[in-house]
Amino acid sequence: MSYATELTEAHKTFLKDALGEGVNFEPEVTQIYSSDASLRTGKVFAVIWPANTEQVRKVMAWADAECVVIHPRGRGTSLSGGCVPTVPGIVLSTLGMDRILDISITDFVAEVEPGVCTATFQSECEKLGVFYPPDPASGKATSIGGNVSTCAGGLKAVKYGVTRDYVLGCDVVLPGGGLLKLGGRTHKDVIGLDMTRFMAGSEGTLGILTRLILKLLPKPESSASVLAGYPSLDAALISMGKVFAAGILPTAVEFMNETVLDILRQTGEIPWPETVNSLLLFQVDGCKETLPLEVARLGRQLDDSLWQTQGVGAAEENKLWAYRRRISAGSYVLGPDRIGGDMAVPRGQLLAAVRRFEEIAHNNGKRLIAFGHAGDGNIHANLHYDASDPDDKRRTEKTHHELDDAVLEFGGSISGEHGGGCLKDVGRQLGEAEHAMMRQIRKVFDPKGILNPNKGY
Amino acid sequence: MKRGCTQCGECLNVCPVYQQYKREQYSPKGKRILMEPIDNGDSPLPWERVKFLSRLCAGCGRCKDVCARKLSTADLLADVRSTHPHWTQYMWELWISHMGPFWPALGFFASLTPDAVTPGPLRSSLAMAKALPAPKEGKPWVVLKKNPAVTVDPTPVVVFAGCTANNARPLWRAKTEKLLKAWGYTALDSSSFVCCGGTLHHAGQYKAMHAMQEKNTAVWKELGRPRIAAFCASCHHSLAEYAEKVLQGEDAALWKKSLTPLSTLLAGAQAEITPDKPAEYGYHHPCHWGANGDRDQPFLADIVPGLKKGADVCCGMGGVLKMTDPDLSMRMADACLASFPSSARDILTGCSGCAMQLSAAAPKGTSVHHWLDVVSV
Repeated sequence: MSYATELTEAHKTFLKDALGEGVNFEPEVTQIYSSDASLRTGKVFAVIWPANTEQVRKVMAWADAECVVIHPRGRGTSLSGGCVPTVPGIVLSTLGMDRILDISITDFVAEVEPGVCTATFQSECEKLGVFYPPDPASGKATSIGGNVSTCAGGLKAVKYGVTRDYVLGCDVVLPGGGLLKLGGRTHKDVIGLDMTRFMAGSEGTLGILTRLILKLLPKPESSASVLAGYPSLDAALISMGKVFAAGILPTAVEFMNETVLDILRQTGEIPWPETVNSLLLFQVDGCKETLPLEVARLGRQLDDSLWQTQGVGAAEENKLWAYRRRISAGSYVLGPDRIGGDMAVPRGQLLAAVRRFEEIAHNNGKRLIAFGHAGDGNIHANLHYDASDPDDKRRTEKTHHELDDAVLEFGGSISGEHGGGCLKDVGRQLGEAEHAMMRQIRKVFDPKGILNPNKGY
Repeated sequence: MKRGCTQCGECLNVCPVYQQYKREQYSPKGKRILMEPIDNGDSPLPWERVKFLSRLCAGCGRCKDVCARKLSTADLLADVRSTHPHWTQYMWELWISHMGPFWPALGFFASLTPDAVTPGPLRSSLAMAKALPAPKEGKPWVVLKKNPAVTVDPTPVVVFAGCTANNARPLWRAKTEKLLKAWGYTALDSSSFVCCGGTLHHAGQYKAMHAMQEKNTAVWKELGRPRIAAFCASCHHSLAEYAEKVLQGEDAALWKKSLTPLSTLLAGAQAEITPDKPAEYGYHHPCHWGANGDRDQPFLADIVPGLKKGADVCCGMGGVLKMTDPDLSMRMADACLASFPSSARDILTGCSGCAMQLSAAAPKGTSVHHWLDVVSV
């Protein structure tokens, strides 16, 4: 496909007329939107901030006619380069559409624009006694639109599922300016193809989301967390297996390997004894009357831990979760630069996969920082290095690629949360026929391929 | 070793400037993408193109709190402003270093100017100027008494009042000295201290800032290295950095130990609430205490029941906004005041800058005070 290689004066005039203050061509602004948390960069002709669906329709009709590439962007936090302009084009920022349109405590449904910050939306829901469970760890930084585009997971996915499980419907503007109104406010709807699900995880390749209809749940009355320490990750994951076998479904289960414990030891105070080399962090929720029983039940299954502590309610729990939050900042003791992985494996393969990843890292002279959502088999496999040291950089990148190969040996996915973006070679995981079918579907939505080219699949 | 911004985006939600614009270029992340290369001398863009963004920062430090690499964008922007000075920065230095004694008089003349004849672009600056003269003293409604069971450290104490209190709110310093005396502390003469230098750091006026830091540490040493009582969160924040950036060795450690919030020195106070207490009042958390370091809030919560904390929104006073974009600064103050419940029309805080800024922005029927205004001995 031959895309526009620059914006003509006529193009600029169109954008100014269509968007008014919602467009900027200046290099000091376009440079900021030329990258994301992957730190890859691309060329941006202009940044636009449409304020409503009609403006998006106008732009998409024009872009399709003029073959101008559009790169949708929420808050630009993609770790897989999902927002990076792989082809020079226009960045469409959804931050100008950040209204919460409705939170219904009778329908248990919310309607929002895509630019709403995830944590802000969750907080507004909770004020009304309802609950939007998908909670990526970066929820304070992300937008709902970005979460839907990547089908964000998060800490509570083990019990409550991922973002796609809460998207009941959406408005989507297609290249050409057409508007699809998919799904609706019912929690059940089996009429026609479930095209709403197509949108969740589509990484901005099918259309621009301009309104999202989201499922809500009653807000759990209370929650509690348990932090348990073990001599090794092996012991920790055996203990976690007992919890599930006993019929307990926690809200969240996080694991931390021995390297993480070493980092926590080096970077701050720790309450656990020296013999603890691996941690599990559980959260359970429920009503006030039954929660203590659930915590006690959980505690009984963790009787093989070396050390345990509990927190009931947000203030006490926050103290426990602070150790989990410390990992990201603390990891820099192992090097000033980072490559992150977010592989997922079947839950029963978690220990074997982490040990295999550690072995690969060790063989390359690296240490693997492994933590994540044990209940989902989702591993954050991070490597720190010094980019100014060419040998360290080479060994780290080699390790990172070998980890992607290894995860497939375990029947896993090379990305459980971050998406393919422009960094993952998804062809290694997808079958040829399946991959081809996905590309055909993409063409149905976007025949000229102007939306987020070279991304996702 | 620190590297630059990882573009994780955690800073967007906490940045009060970003909240006003909702565009990434106004966020700490956006500014770092432009200013890190400027600071390193390898920017593809000339300073002239990026300078306007370097001046839009309230210096609240919230971005550093949430940054995984603990990068301070306020410091980075101060550095690039220092190497690319602008005439307004010299004006600010003049205002802080030499004009202090004239602030009340200038405020008085400003108060004679009716809003109706003030040109739009000057209104927010004029509102701030009008807040400079000390208002008529209100009736305190908390009588503080020392708990006889509490033993007072005999180390002498010197009050660090800061330039706002020294020039525009002398009552705060006088009341602090009265409280310390009532508690049995030995209060030393504090009249030789100058401004803490924090605001000149934000302005990038490093030479003047260093001179203030040297003067203040010299005064402290001459006084025999006493404890330093600070009642302003911003002064405390700025003085705390002396231990890392100005002093060395034992003096640095002793300075760190000596610097004490006034509320900490009054810990365990017994309070009698008078009938003049407003039905409901709010508490504004000054950003410069950091996310978890507010020392006044627990003190106030102990002595007065029913403390209603605001939504933790920055008042917009800090950084260089008062000189670079006073309208933005005032819009931030308006947003801060709007975040309080409508029933809490009396607001307390523990920062001289926040108190002045929010007083200037407060609509009719709302009053903002340093907590020292409402206590008596």
